[in-house]
Amino acid sequence: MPIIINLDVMLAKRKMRSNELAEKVGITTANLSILKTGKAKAIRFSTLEAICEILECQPGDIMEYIPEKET
Amino acid sequence: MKHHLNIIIIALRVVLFVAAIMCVFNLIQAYGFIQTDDPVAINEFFLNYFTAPKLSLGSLEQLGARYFFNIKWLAIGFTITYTALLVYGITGIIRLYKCLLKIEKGQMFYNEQGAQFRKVGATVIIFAKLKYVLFCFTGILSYLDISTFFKQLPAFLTLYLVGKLIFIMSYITEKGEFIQEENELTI
Repeated sequence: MPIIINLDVMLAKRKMRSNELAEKVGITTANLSILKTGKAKAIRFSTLEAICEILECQPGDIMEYIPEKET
Repeated sequence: MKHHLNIIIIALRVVLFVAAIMCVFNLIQAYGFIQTDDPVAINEFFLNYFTAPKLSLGSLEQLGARYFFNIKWLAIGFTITYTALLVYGITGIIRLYKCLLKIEKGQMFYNEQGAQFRKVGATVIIFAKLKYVLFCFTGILSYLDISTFFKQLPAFLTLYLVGKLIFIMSYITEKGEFIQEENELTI
């Protein structure tokens, strides 16, 4: 998928653990792991809002669009 | 929901049991036809399925001879082919039974469910078509019974429509499978 999740980078910048973020956002660590590994098919606005609020960042900071290269 | 499913599962068990009994009965019949050369027994057997013309048994045998076949081997062929067809039908019913058992256990949508339902639908439709052809073919060859074409039509159409309904179910389950996966992967 051309949408890349940079949640790891933001977590490292804020020196926060995944468990802590999951707990504060109100999702399970398994779901956060799905999001971090890029397996998620969609993200709710409420989840995105909570993540941005806790990490004090913009949606663009945790995800970016990289076009797929034509083979 | 569970109550309705239980009824369908019990009905399928009964259908499986009856089909298995029919298979055994047909094989015994075929064996009996091979062992003995009793035209009366063959006649009685065919009368279960077809309507005999108003002719004597001797005339019927002559009728058979006129059409270049032996009525004994027609009966053996019919019973064995019908048994094979029933076994094919049983495989479809078992597949449907397994699908319904999984749904009963709470797995409303699961991987490969759509493909399994599609196979069941295809089995039911092929079974309906082959059974119709077999009965019409045998009816014509044994007694020149053209009415078989019409008598077998309700059973054929019922099975055919059931097969088509299962096909529609397969599309619904495929869509459900997709929506469930999407829902599970929405964070």
